[in-house]
Amino acid sequence: MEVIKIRSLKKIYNPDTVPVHAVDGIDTEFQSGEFTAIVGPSGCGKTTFLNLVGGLESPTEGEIFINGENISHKKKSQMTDFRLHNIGFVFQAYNLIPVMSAYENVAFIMELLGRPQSEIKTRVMELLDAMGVADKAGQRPHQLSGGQQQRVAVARALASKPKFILADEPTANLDSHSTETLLDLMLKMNEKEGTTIIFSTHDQRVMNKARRLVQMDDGKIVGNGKPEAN
Amino acid sequence: MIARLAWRNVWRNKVRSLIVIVATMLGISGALFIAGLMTGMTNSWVQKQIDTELSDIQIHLKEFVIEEDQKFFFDRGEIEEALEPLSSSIRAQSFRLKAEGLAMSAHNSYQVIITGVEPNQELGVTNLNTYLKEGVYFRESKRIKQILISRKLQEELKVRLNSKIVLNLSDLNGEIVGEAFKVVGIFKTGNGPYDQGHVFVLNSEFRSSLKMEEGNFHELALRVNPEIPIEEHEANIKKAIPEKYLAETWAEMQPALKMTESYMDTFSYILLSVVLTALIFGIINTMLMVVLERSREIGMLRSLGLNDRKVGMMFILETIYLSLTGAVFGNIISWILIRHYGRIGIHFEAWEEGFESFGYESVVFPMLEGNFYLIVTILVFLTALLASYFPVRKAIRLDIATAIRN
Repeated sequence: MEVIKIRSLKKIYNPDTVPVHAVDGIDTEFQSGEFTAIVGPSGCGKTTFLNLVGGLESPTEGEIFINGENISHKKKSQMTDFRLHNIGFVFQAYNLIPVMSAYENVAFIMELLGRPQSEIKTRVMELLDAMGVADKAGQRPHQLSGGQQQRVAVARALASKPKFILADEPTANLDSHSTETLLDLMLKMNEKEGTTIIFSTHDQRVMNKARRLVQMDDGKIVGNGKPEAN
Repeated sequence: MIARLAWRNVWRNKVRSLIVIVATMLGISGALFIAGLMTGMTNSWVQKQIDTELSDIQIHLKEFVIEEDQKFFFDRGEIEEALEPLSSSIRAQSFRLKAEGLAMSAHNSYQVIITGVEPNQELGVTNLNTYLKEGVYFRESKRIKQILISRKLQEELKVRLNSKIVLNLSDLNGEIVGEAFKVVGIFKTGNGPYDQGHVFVLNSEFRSSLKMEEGNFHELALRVNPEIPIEEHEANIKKAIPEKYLAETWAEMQPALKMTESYMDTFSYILLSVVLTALIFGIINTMLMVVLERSREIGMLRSLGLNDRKVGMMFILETIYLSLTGAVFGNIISWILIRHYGRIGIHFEAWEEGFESFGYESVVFPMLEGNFYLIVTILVFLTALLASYFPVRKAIRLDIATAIRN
């Protein structure tokens, strides 16, 4: 089943001065439960593409359908609400809320959604346990290692059971061991929860873990398929 | 959740938050203490004039008030009869004689207002006796007429206790009379202009100088039950007394006193608004810095689904927490200072003469009404709301993608 359908997507920065075609006419789909890596050299448009799919930026042209709903022309406030209910984010720099504990960071979105405390507690502890950081629940981000912080960030992204998770270079700041652990956990959660996960990377080890690779260059998709085929 | 997050955010940069809180605290406590000082000075100045001269309410003939001529006197019996139904609300009364005259010694002369009093009655209405520096508050004597003068007038006339001075005045027939009085007491109220221009004599002795008949007076000073508003007493008295009389409260007799009170209130608010204006700029500056420093985090929160209203609320609450924490401590400190110095007083002895020349006491007992603290807290709250406008606007206008990239 299609979760995301993209048609003729373009993003042009500085259209009136020095136009930069960051995303230049992309057509693609993402199916439910996919574990997809967007790959390509730096500056090829991976981050812009993910931002467009996540509604963090508006496309210059084209349309993005999520579960059949066109999000390309949604207002800012509608898009914020849409993200809250449908999309999970994982960032390269972890971006946990520094004044909140690991538990509170994961619970944050569920609290925003107004879920009951009993449900929040069960879900948060289940996720922290699955990500192997249950014993760090009471600790604040600065007390955790980079790998642990990113695992908490993945737990946070999964907490509200979103339709898909967008992760922009989630392993870029991690050592090889932490990268391996994180990817294994993401794969495990992808299987267990059935959540579609789309992440960008230029790390070959990470690409090898993906079930589908989307190759980008100069804002265009130049390759699309299974890792073995790339 | 947003409230909790905002509170924790306040303490992320403890030094910066403490600087803002301490600055707010010092500004508010300073403004409140100065307001308390000014209020204390004004109130003691007003109260002193009520206690030493005016009393709560005075009754005169209307013509006396307009023309200030001693020929407009009233009959004591008539006014006593009129006030009889109100006797329960009148705590004390003093019938006085009044005239303008010239106090002369061998060295100098000075224009004064001569007030004739009956000491036992007057003690219930005013407290001039408590300001005696030398001598007595009149005594039993039939040998020579007695007078109380102030220290200031004593210095002007270059006389001493038991010296004689001559009062020149015109009697009821319009003839100039000069009578010798012996200085039996010297007072100093601390109100320079008042002291210099007032002398006190006995009604019984002054009456003969004025050639007035027994039972006639110029002025009736009243002290009324303080539990009832003075305006209510005044209204009742006006209803009870004949049309030819005029009853006036101290505020009506001396509008400048009332005006000074309200001027001091205005001054306090002006002072406070200066402090709050400075506070606004300090807070805006700090909070804009906070938004700048946390732009990536703001982008992250908004990408996760925190809407503009909640982002705005977070910064509004942070601003309010910062400001109100400072205001609460400022209130507490000023309350403690005002309470402490309100008991022991602040002694401005070095500037005593300057204070007295304006009629103020050199010992000031600061005071501030409780509701002023509440008003200040509300004003600080509103100031914080106002100050949060720019940081909130900046936070919700941040481009999410750019903020996260940064």
